[in-house]
Amino acid sequence: MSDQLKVDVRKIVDELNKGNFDVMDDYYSQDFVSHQPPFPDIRGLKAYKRYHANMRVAIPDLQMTIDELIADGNIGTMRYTDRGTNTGQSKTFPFPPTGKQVSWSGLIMSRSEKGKMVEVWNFADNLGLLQQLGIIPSMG
Amino acid sequence: MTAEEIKSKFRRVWGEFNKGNLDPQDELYAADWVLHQPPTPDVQGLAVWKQTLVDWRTAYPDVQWTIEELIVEGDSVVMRYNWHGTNTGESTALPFPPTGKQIVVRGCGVNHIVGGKVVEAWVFMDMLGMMQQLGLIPAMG
Repeated sequence: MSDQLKVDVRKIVDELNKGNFDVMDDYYSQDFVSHQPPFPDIRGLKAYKRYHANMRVAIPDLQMTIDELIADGNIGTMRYTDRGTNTGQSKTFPFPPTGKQVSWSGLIMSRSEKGKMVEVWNFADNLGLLQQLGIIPSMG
Repeated sequence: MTAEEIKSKFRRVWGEFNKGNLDPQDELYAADWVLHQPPTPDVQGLAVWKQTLVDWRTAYPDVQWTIEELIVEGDSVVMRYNWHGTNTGESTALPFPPTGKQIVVRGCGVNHIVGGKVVEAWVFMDMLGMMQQLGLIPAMG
């Protein structure tokens, strides 16, 4: 089970890096929920696919790298790094494109039921990302 | 150490933290451990870590830590958590006049264990949400 989860996650990341969002249909339940504080939850696979598509409009060359995968029963965790150039504007990035090259990391914890992901918690370095984009000044 | 033993150590040490007892941290974190917590600089070593905890409790004297999920694979432990507290003090952890705000902050970290102690951790805490709740950054989108 745990090993299969890792295989699935590698496949999902590979396909998302090519912009193939439909791959998610095979691995996520329809009523899937993503928690990504401090932003509102994303409910339903359709909305989650739209979120990924919007991300790619804002950062068309977005590439996710898997830094580490840990699995325990039906719970999986991925530490990742995202890299890309902010040349577009979308609902996920509701500000004029900065043209900046950005790189940020995070952790996603997933919970699966009957072989499909039903819930994820995504903790990304949003503060660092907004600082790199120049939207929030660097502190301290 | 078995997975259950390491889990109960995490629960016990953070339970003691909630009572204001920081010394049990010595049992969980190695003397030369490193904490990566982007976008803030790395924390190097147990002494600096414990001072960070003291400063944190000064900023939030009623701080309480809750473990929401704990998973173990081999030498890796993932802890998803939240903490809540009222910002009534000022310290290097929060170099602003106290806001008086009560906040809840979530996070998740990967811990690497050697000889029963954490030697390295990657922690992602919702710092943006924390700053927003404190009113230091406006809420967005």
